[in-house]
Amino acid sequence: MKRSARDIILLISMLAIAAGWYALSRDTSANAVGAIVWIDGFRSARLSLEQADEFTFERGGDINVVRIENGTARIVSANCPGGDCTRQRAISRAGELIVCVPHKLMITLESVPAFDTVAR
Amino acid sequence: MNRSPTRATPLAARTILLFGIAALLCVACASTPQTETRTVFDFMDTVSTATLPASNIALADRLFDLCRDLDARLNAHDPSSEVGKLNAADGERVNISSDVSTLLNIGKEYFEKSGGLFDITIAPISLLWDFSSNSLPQSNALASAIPLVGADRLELGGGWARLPVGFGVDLGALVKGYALDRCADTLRAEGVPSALINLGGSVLALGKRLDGNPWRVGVQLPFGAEGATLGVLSVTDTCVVTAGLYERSFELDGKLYHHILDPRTGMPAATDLYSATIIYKNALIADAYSTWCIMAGAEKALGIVESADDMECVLYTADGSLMFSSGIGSAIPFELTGDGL
Amino acid sequence: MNRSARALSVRAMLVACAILLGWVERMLPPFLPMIPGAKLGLANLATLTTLALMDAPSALLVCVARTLLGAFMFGSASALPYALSGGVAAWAVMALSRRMFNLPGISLLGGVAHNITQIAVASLMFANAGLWGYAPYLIAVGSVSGFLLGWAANHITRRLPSGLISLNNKSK
Repeated sequence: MKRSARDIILLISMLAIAAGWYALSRDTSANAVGAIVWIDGFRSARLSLEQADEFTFERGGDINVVRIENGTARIVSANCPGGDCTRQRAISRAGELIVCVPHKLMITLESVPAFDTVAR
Repeated sequence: MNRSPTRATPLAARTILLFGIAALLCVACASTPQTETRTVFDFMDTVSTATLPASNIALADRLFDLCRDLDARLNAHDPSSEVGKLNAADGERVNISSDVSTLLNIGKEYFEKSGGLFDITIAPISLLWDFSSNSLPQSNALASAIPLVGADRLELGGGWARLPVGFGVDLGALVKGYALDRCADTLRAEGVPSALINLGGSVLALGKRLDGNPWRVGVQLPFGAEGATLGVLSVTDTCVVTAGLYERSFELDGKLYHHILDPRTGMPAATDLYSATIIYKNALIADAYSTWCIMAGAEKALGIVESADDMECVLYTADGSLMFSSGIGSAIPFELTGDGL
Repeated sequence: MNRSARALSVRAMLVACAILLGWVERMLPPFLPMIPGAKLGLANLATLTTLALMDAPSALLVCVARTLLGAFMFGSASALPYALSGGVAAWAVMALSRRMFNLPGISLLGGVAHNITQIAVASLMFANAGLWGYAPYLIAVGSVSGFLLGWAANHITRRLPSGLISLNNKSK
């Protein structure tokens, strides 16, 4: 086989892997109900997707503002260099995520309730 | 760039493809084992739930029976209960069961530890208050009840107890914690690896969830809607007990009257804490600490909890701020929820 | 000028080109801003060209040098672990696949390796495996941009003055 043909096959199979990975990792079984805000690897907050609201996360001068509306979550403003996180799409399905690399902040969605029980 | 072509290469591409597919299959398989939850409303004036592995769900009725029995025997409001009879003994010695003996001993111990703030002999005062009626007790009745309170006057011996005339014990601050500990004993004796029991808001989280993750226990947002939370604790094999001003309380002329009563004044404790949540392996001890923390106030409460080994707390102050003991966020993860932010 | 001095200055020129390309990419608006980490990888053109014209050690030198210098000149320190690990991983995969594919294929594998490494590093830094959710996007982006850059590198190597190529002591 010619080498240039091999390059094309490689390109196609890589795209196939990407498509397969995407199809399998998508959680279509349940609607997301909560957004988890991870800071430094810890689940720092859990925001209900059912209620429109805006939350400001500040840690050592790092600020990210998270907006919840219409069952979606996104970062509407942040003081990270570049502000890449504010350009990521609003997420609405379990398994989707938004990440702010400089602030080590990440938002993921989950389809399970916030808690098993409540102490009061 | 014209090296001789190697035949083996499509293999390389295929290997990569197979690798990718194999990796994906690992993501796809995840199943959750079955649990069942039972809910009852008929004791301790509250809702109780038991979440157990489906194969152990028959135990739920045994646990609820155990709690019903304790509730009946320890109820100070019922003159025919074990505690009712002790309170009505007019200074005589009364034989007591081992359950009551345990609770009275703990009550006395924490009376001393707390310098009199936590007092199970509050009955002469607490029986005057009716938090469902939205009205205050008569002030002269309260005034004459105050001298009849003091756990230092409670005498305890092997299998008996004696109270001075007019005195009385109210174990309301301890009964749910004690019942949870008895539930834990039963579940452990039966070899149940995983259970979540909630008695009117006091929680026993035995083991982990069946899916291997910690139990997720929300902490009620004081004066918020039911199920609105300050945050969620991830806990394994421990108890979570909250004392809060918002439970059993009423407002009159713009002032809040709550059920955590100060033995020195006969009135609801003046405190800057709306709620104190204690995380500890023993629910009875956690129950005592949660009430003590409320009585002691925000500033002292943290020190009280830090001086106890392996105990953690989440405090919510009247000005709306959260305070944590040192292990919250590390040993015990706590995530804020939108309601409390 | 002796042979090794010329080789050194050619490498230095390639490093300079790489830094310039990195700067150019920095000036461009982010393509696919919704996917963090998705980028063209223009600077990789220099590593790729070095690999094609010279040898693997030289390519590693160019790669590491341009990453470090680029970070000191206009990068942020926080991005350095990502850039360095991604660059080295891409170099390793490209050097290994040199005999199996043409420049587009080699570059494609480099792009994918770079992006996968970034996810792996980020997963460690964030202590969270959820970042692998980006993997399908970044594999696709790395493949396409890598392929295109490889195609561009093909043209560059063909159009470079022959004197440069003859530098390569392993030249065909």
